[in-house]
Amino acid sequence: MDLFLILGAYVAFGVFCWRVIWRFLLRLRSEPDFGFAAGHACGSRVLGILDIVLLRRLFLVNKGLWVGEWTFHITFVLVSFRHLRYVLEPGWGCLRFIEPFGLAAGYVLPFSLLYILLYRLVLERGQYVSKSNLFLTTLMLVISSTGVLLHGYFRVDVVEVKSFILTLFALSPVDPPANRLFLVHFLSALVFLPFVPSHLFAAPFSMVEARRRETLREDLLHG
Amino acid sequence: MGEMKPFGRTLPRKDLCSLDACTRCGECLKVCPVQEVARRREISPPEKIKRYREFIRNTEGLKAWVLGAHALDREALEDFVRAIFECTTCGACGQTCTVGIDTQRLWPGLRKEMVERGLGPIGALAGMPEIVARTGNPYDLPAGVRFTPWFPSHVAVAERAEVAYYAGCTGCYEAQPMVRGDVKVLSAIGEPFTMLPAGQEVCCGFPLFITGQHGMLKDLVRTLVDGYAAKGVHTLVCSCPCCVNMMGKDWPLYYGKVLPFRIRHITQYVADALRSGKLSIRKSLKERIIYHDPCYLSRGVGVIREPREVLRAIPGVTILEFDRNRENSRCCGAGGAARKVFHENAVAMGRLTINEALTKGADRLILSCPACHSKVHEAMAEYDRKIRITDIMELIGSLIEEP
Repeated sequence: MDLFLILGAYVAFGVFCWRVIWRFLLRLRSEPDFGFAAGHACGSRVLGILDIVLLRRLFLVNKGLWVGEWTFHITFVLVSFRHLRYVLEPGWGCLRFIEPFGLAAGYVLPFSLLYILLYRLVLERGQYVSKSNLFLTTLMLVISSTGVLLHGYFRVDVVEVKSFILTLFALSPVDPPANRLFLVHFLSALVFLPFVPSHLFAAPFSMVEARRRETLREDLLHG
Repeated sequence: MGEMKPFGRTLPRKDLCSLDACTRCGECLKVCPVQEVARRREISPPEKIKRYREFIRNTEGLKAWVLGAHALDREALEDFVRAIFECTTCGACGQTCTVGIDTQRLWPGLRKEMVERGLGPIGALAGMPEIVARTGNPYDLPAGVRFTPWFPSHVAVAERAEVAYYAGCTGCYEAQPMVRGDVKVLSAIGEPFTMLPAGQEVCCGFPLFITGQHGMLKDLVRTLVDGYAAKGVHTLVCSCPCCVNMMGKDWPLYYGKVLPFRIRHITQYVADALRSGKLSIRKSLKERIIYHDPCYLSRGVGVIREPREVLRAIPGVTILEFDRNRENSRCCGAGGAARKVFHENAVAMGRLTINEALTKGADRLILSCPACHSKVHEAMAEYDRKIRITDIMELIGSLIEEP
């Protein structure tokens, strides 16, 4: 089991990295955009970043879903940051500042995912949810729920966790902690990693571009 | 084997980024007019994007990289081509897109890609470049009858002027009450305006652009831009939203530099004239009218306020709004050249517009696009529900005429 977990970790991480690099290369090899550079006002860039942080476009079209999605994205980022303490030695100072927020976010995260699932499946009767999104949301619900249980009820030795992760990165892995819930948590994360929709890293760029386009559209015939 | 070429490499970077950015959230499904009438999930925006991503993976993914790209399923390619040509390119999906994908540009971009691979366009659209080359318009009608059937005899056109009017092919051949209204109103404003002769006022390029057949666009654009520049034009006025969209967004790209004149939609020009007092509407109209925002005018170039400003200037009129209005308007079915192949979809969409106008209690449906004008009339032709359909300038023209 330990060997399976360790090999699984390398495979999952390798697939994740390959997918990110492949997309980057694909982007590099594609055709440059046709046309001459249009103005890119600083103001529209700032508003574009706000659009990303607040998920404004989703808010405009589906406020009910926005509540769940925004909470999910914010708590996911905080929890991910908090998990950096397991892979960094020494840990960054800022991580200590994030610690309490990350901890609170960890408890909210599964509820936001549950809300999204219920909203999609019950309120919208599953009409608009894609199978891949459903799978990933469910998987994240498992990961986040086991994470909460690990912190609050079936505590795992964090020193053991950290040494396991650090030695994985150092390519000389020690045995994982002998906590079944941790194994479920870690295994679920390994399943999640290759399925991370890496193509979505383009979404923030698309949002900034959309804001710029809206500004330019207004100027096109009104300027 | 055109389809063996990698599918990601030939696509502009922005389009590739757009394809990647789709989260498959499904919000676009709620507003897609084609989905509303055809109810086929496989032609929906996220499915088209997913399909194209699969083409990229199959020709450039890890497996293709290691084992070499294998031939794509011909049927899958044909289904995809059909799906992108069935779209009206109205851009409602992009307007509601939670990550802001510019679908009004993405779908034509993918159409171009398919055309370059020899997989498109489909049906009657394939012959369009030859027709435009021969006649100067996509309707295969002689240039000699471009203006004569509808141009009012009392309206004078200047040889040279700062303002020019581009009538457009669809207006001239399919929506003549609209272009007649345009020139009546322009004439009433009193500023001299010029036009290119019928043989020189060729297609703006939009039908070719939208069907992915870009071969002759540079030549068409140069002919038109140089023609207007030679007449000393500073402002080019046009009433067709598709033409205006093409002029504003794409003419500079195909011309290779900034245009020597500005582009104005006719409602903008008329709204200016109403504000400055050069035009006034004295006749009243005791009617409840409902205005339909054309996709390429509202979502395309953001002309939303001015048509309403013009309509509000009519004494006595009550203006109603569709549930989906302004940049969220619903396509009437005429867009994206899809009406030429998927006629039934277009008629069904047109009838949805008619139904909602009647449900709202409107006496008259006001349009501001020749394609909408033609298609909604067609949708009503064999329909038991009737409403009076009038173009905005046709209406204004009738209200400023002497009794």
